[in-house]
Amino acid sequence: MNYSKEVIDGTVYVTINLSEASLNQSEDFKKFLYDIDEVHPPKIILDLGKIEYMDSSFIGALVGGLKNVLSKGGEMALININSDVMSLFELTRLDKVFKICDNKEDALQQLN
Amino acid sequence: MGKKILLVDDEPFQLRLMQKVLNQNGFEATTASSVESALEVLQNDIQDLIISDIEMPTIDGFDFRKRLLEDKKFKNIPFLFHTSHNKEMLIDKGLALKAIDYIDKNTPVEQLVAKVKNILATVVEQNEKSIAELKSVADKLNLKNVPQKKLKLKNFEINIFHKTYQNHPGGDFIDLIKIDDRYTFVVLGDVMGKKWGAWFFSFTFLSYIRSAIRLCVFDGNLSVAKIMQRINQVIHVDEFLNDIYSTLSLVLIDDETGDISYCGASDLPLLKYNPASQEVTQYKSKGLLLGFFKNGNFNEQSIATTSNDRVYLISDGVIDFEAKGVKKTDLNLFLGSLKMHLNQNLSFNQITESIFNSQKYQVDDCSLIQIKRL
Repeated sequence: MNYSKEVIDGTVYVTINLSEASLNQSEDFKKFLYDIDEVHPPKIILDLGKIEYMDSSFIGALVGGLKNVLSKGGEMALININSDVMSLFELTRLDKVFKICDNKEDALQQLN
Repeated sequence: MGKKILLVDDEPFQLRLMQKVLNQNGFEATTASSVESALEVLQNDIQDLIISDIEMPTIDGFDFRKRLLEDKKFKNIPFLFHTSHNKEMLIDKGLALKAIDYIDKNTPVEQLVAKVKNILATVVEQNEKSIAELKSVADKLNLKNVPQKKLKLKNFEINIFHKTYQNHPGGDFIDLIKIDDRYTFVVLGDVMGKKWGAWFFSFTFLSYIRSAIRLCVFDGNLSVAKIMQRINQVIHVDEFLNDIYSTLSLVLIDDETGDISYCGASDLPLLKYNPASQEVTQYKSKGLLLGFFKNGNFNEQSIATTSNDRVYLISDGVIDFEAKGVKKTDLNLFLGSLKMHLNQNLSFNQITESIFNSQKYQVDDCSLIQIKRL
């Protein structure tokens, strides 16, 4: 599976098992994010540790997922972002849009 | 890179043999010994053609085909059955499942390769025909998201380089809006996504941007940050664009003073090359993704220019590339390359021809706008 999820301390922890996250997966991923309903309001941690390259379609899906979570009064945090992806986030100010944490423990603290 | 072919068969010898033959003929063949592993391959790597055995344990070739037809990502991948059971009934069943053809396992490899080549050539031809028809309709409707002409002002020359991705229109959009003899706006946006979906929405963004610029100018407002916030407000409340996001670089050229003002929304930095120092300076904006928040935190930077200075606006396709099968995003690599070319005093066309040549494997549509002070 490209995505897996588990509930930890009232938060849905999602692992993305992709090294290249792009157009081919963006629609599926967005649906996966939208369908998360284990916790109300949604609290989601996305582990991006395996992603080495992310294109704008996948970033669009991430942003769409965040907007959906925020509209339900929830929160979403990104963790383990690879340095290349992080540079792109910083260049385009997406680091100001997403809550970004170093690891699972930090994210759990921030969201709880 | 050769066309990708997925071979599915539970007989390892058959798989290895076909993979070897196809790879020797310039294809990139991947093997899967079961339908389950074939589906895993497809999840991560869309193929150009699938050749599948019929009789396999657990899930057979017919069920495999049915599953592919139920998934919109996979249903249009050309599909061939390859089996030793070439009875009429099997042929009928296979073709009813929209398999392109049915090949006997006893077919000599030369004929198999010829058939694969023919099928892929027909698919490419059909795709090109469909794209050409769509493009022709778009042209008739005068739907253009990139200006066709370069613009020359008294003190500036504006050059545009735009390259589509795999010959499909994409989400990059460009506009040059000349207000009067003094002021001209330059717009570069990029709808997140690729190909036709992003292309379609680029016109909605362009319409809003053109209207917002005109309305603000009518009100005597020439601040790019305020215009950007106006655009942001409209897009923020538009339900049609609820899930569609775009970056935007907005530049106003003052042809009298030679000053340029710049505001960006989640865009890549504006670049300025000074021929005297031979250095490229980055101007990073603070603005956030267009329409995401009610207030996009937009700031405005004023950039003075002198003769021969060049300012560049870039879309993300300019810094995305693929090398040795690995995709990368690298602004510094592009900056180094741009600086090297500029220091050789090359023209805009020479620079773009050299940087975006066939050696650079593109992964998205890309746009580069040069504003040169004369």
